[in-house]
Amino acid sequence: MSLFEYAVLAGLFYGLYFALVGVGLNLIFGVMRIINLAHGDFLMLGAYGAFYIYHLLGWNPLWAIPIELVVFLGLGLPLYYLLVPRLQKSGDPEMLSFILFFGLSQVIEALAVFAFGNDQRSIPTSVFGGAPIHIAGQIYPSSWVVSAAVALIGIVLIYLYLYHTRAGRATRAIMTERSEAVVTGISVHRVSAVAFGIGIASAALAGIFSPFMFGAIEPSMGLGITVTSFVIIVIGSLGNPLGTVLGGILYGEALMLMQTFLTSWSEMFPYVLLILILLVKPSGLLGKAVRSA
Amino acid sequence: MEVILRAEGIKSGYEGVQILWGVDLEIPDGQAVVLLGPNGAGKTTLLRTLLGLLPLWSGRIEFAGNDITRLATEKRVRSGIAFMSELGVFPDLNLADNLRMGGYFLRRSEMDQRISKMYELFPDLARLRRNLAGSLSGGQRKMLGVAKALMSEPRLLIMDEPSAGLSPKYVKEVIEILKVAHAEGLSLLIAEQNVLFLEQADYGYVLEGGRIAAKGSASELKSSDVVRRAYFGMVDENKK
Repeated sequence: MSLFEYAVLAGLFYGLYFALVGVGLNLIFGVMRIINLAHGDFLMLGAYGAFYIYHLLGWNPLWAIPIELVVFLGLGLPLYYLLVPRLQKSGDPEMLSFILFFGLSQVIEALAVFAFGNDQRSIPTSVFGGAPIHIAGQIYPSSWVVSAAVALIGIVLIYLYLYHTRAGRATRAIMTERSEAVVTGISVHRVSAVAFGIGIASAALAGIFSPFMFGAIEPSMGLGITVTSFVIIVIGSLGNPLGTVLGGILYGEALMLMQTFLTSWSEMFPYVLLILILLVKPSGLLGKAVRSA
Repeated sequence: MEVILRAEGIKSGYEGVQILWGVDLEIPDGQAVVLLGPNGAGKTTLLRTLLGLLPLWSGRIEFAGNDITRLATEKRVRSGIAFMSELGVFPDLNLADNLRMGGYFLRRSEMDQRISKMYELFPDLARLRRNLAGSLSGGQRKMLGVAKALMSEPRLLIMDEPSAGLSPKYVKEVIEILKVAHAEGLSLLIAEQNVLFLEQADYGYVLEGGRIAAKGSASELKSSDVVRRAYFGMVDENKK
């Protein structure tokens, strides 16, 4: 049974990581009712940030964490004011956001090819100490454990923000009833802009660890990751950022178990899971209906 | 008597459809004013325009002596106008968090003080503070809505149909809650179809087809033809 145990624990590491991958997309959807199709591209940018910090500066990729959090939070605020309030004035912001952020995704990808080239890149896993880590009689790469730990810390911080700060409570208030938040006197745009910043900063944070979790990075990786994130948040339930944790862990477990026991089917499995959930419980496992369509 | 809110020549509507055709309205400081009118008369449109949620096509709004015609909604709320919508609460937030949102821009020390004050005014709320607002009964929800609106220590509370969706027993409860609020020295503007609220008001306006059809003290209005029409309309509706 040790192979099974190995897969389950590996699934947990990957699951926590995938929760971090998806949480930003869900936060932005929950607050603004827009789908950020460029989500995976922000993750890709975060990945290249870590790559260059390691290869050009020779620093440990962990240094990318504080740097990228500041950069992407700072990027998120003006980007919000540039794009989102205009979108929300339209009759169907959700649909329009698909098109607009798909365009943004293509632009980022094209610029990334210019800037970084088309080659696959990676960071040696030995940066977190060469020795693998022994847990419960199993051996795991240290990079998996570090990635999962950082993801867990990131998610806990987002939880603390949402449930124990004034702006975070206001964020949840906007998620539950936007119009009520406006008449309550909450600065809806300011609070949403911060949520947008947190959304893409969490993607960049996940990006820092993507060279280890996905093996390699390339400018075109974004779209696939956006789709993966979408699967995760639909499993957990759209509009409920903490449901993403459940979605991420289920996704990670499913992926690892499939890769271990039914390797050739594993590529397909997440999508089968998505279809099953949409058929059986379309609102997601933790969800109630948050959208009419 | 000092006037807390004065609206002059309000014209407004939705995307090219004019709803309000020059409404004048005054709320004397410390008084309860009821805005009566049937469905579709423009009551909600008028309230939303006063709050700055809808663009004003023309006219002028003055609050506590200041021109607020061009002020953003959140700034109007901060200057002392609280609004209680038909929904009134955040269903997915617990009761304590709803109150915190009502006092969103208060300092921390003030916030805690106001919350204890609300629990004092409405002891039922203190008991339920960990419950989600969405799990409350209709009457409790209105109570929370009023408490949430009072958190910011407003000078004027504007309410959109506080009796909507409530059984007659709860309507009486809501009126009792409003008496508590009014006794705190608050001015009230209540849009209603239910004429029971006129009993509690100092002054009333009747809105019909986006224009003021009648106005006067509560006792004057009760005997006016326009209100009798609306009033009997109301009675009919209750019988259904």
